[in-house]
Amino acid sequence: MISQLGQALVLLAVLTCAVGAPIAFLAGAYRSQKGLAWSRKLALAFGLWMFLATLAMEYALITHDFSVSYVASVGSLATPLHITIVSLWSSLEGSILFWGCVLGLFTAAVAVLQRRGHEDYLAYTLGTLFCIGLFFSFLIASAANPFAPTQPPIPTDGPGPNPLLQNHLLMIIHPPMLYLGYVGMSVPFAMAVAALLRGQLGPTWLLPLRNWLLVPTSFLTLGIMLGGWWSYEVLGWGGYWAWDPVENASFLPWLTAIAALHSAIVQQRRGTLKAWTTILVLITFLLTILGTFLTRSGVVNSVHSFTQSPIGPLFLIFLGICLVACVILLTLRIDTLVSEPSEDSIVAREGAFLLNNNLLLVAVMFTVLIGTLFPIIAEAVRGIKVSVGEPYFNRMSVPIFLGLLLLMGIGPALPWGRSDPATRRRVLLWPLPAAAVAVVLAFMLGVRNGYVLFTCALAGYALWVTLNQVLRPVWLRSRKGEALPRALGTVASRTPRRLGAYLVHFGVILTFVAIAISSTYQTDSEASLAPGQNMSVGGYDLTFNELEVERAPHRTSQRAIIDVKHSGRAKGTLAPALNQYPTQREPMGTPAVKSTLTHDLYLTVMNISTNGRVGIRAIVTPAVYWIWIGVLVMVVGTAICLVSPAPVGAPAVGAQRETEAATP
Amino acid sequence: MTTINRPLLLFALLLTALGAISATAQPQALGVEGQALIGEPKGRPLSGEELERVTNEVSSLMRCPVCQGLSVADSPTPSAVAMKEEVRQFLAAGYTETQILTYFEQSYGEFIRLEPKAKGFNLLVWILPIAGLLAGLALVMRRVKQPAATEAQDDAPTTVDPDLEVYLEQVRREVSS
Repeated sequence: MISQLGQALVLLAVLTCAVGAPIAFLAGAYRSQKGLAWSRKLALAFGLWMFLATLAMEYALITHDFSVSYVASVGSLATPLHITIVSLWSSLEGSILFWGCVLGLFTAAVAVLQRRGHEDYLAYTLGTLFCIGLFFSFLIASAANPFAPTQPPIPTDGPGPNPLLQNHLLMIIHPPMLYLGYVGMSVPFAMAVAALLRGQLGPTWLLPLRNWLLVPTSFLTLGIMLGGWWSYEVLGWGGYWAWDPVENASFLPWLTAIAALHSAIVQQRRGTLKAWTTILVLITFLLTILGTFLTRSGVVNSVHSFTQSPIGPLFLIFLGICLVACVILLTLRIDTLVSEPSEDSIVAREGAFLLNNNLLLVAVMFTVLIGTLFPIIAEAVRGIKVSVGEPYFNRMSVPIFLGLLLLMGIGPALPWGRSDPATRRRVLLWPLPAAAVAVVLAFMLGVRNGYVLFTCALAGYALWVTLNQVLRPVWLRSRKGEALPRALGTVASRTPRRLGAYLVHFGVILTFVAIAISSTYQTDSEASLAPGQNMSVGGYDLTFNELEVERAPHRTSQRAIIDVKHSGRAKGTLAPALNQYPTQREPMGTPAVKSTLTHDLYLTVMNISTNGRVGIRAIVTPAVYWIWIGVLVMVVGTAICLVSPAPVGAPAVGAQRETEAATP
Repeated sequence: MTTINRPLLLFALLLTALGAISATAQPQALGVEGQALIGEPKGRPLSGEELERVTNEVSSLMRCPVCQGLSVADSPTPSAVAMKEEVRQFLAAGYTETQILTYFEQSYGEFIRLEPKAKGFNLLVWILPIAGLLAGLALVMRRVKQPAATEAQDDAPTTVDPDLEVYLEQVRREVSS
């Protein structure tokens, strides 16, 4: 029953997109208001069908309707309700359906939210979204059909979702965040295609573009962070980022999206870099498709390759079509973009520096892309499997990241527009003491590693510049007699976007320093302990108390109860576990983590011998908490930028002027 | 997923089965095995803290053969633990990083190296990113240099961020009124 209903809804979605795409493109070409109105209605319909189809699947999951093939493959009567609900994204078919749902909702949101100020592009934007929607709804209807009826006999119970997905709550929110980021990149892509089709990139295009780029970027940021956190809390190797192909796949579009956001600022301020911004937006979307192909086709090895299926080739074809379409569009239109009258050469320093920021971000992207693809290429060319892993990525990308941190200090310090050498010297030398203070502080706290000290110096410099940018108006107001809190409030309410942007920078600085410290100063210790024996690591004294065995229908869990003491004082107990799932040969560990603001104590069980001894690995990592805090600060900053109205009266193009400028 | 089908993998798996803790019986056996493949130790024997540190360093360059992309240093699986123990013994016997990596490469293939050797076709993965960066830099420089000639004609240089300046001016007006 649900099976038929779901398939009918998905077919309706396919039909809606198939009809919507030509209508929208024709409406765009003939500037037909009627056609645009129809496209809008169809966009809403597409969103509705996909949403209802997802609801139908959820209903099937919750009611354990094993006649639906997807439910039969991931459902289980023993699984708790909240896990059952999220098992929508625990396997391939469900993930693609969820993807379609998010895409549908984004398409509908564009149709609803972009009513004003974007008319010139809207039809083409919707047309492009319909094309993407057609691909995904077709995929859901055919190769990745979650609603296919189960071959009789219909089972009375299922195996339940992948155990790795069951054992942490982060798995409930990490995938949706990532999907919102990934799928959301379709919208700026569609807007870029629309602008290319229209042959003009007016200011009415830029502000919506920036917002529609900010939304998925912040979701992606959050998704990547939660993924790192999940890997830290669940996988049990003591790290948060392994340069795994799937991690890389989520990181690639993030890098180009960040680059696009920065070049959009230059475009907004100086009217230049239009073509470049467009290219970055196109690449971002292509990278999301490439990432999905890489991780869903099984061509690369990954911790996260939960799902592999025949849809890989289809994604490759889709990627090829998109790539060809982008190249054709760019070759046909790039001249009109570059030769637009407002496009003058990059005169100002900020252009140079933002361009360098873009250059470095793209360089990281390129490096990670090559490193991720190289094993496939090498196997094709040489017939030999090679690995490109953490040491390679660290060696290649860390210097570039340090360069980015340097630019984060220099860029905002430099004045917009032209400046004389004396001013430049002054603004660039001014924050140097802050760098020195940061180094001395780090040294006093015990940091001796050259790389980390260098990172601290750059961070101190960038931090000073950031604070200076935010606090100078406050200081000016308070000097003229305004109370400090009020001055702060006024500044925050008058220039929220500025504040948001610098808050993001602040978060980035925090994250950079935390990553540098945590990746350099990890201490670990391994020991095989009998009950009552103890070990020590980084000032902690750990006593293995007893082994607890917990038998559940889906797994047997052996928990090592460990008493934790720090410099003589009891700090509670931790219980890392080793879980044996019937479906897996090697047991899977669940680490136990004790986080504090300065450092984390991380315990994993490596093995349990028959005589009751446990092999324990204890890791003390400083500053991990600050990575999560830093990323959250970034997300809050982005959110502030997003909800704040566009600046009026600033050199940026005001909302009123936009509509005038847009009329051809 | 891997093409490891050599006897040595079986050997390693056997070790796994025996358990990492029974490592005490292995040094001589491995030493002989190692010598047959990579000759005499070329470094000095390590011990204590240094041994631990270098063991971590070397095993972080090796891929855990049964995991998905984790290094031997990071992986909690028994086979990785056994391999790490082998590395420790090699280092204690005075073998160098290069020798140890060569030894494991002979057993598991190039796949074991997390950092591809900069040799032959593999050079691409090292050179391409740098070439890309340099090409990008050249492009940026070309675009930025262009206007340098006209810069001299431009009068009244802006000394402060105009955005901030406009804003500061607004603040000054407000405050003084």
